[in-house]
Amino acid sequence: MKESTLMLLQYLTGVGILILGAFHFALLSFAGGGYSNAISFASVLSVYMSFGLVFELFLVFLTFHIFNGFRKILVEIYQGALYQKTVTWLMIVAGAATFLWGTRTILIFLGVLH
Amino acid sequence: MKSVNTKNNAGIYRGWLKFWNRNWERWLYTMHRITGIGVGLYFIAHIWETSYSATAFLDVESGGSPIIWTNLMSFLSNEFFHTGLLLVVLASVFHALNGIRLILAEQGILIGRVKPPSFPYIPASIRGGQRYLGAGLVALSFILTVYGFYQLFIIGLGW
Repeated sequence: MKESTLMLLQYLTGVGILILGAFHFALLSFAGGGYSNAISFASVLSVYMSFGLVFELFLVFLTFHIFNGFRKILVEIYQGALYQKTVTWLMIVAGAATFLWGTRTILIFLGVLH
Repeated sequence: MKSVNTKNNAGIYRGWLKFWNRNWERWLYTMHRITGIGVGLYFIAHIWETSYSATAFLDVESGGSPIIWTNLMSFLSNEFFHTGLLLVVLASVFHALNGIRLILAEQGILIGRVKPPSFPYIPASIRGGQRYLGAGLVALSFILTVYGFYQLFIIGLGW
């Protein structure tokens, strides 16, 4: 994928994270009845049941933005074709593992995985 | 033919961290990098932490295991972890707001009007509303962090 396309996706996912991150913070504070109430077992279960798919979208945006960000930083430190390709694939594998692990958690919260 | 060195030889210290004696935008750039790396590493830890806590919600049709959840929350509810969360709030809010500033700058919004170069050669880009936007986002980051402090320490820990 072209660097300009990756950068555009970096900006778009950044805006998505800003919106969904604000939603996440709101649920953990005033919208959740205060932090203590928001992290209770019943509240967390209720939030995941209602917004599980929104968290999945949040996970997609975060995984891309963070691991592409790490890739950009690592490529900026040192240059070279082999190094750049290795960093890219390492970030793809690490990002995929993180995404799958986070998806597993959301599926458990949704009651899909037992 | 003479080869051209295209490597980024400034390195991490001179290229990123050494922001003193530079302009305000350079400070914002360094902070954007540091907060991005910090929030990114926290995200990986958060995925691991939530995957552990999710075991409390296995077999949730029959009530799940609230005791696992309560024990984990009790372990995390102290000044040490809440201070860490507060730093995450500060870093993520700053990174998000500065990211919006960078998107606006790239679109040419709120940067200064281009003028012919003249002494003392201050770039037009750091004369416009971008500079005020940078100051405003830092102030807003701290204001929202104060709200985070209220939620985490006053409500969360009962200070």
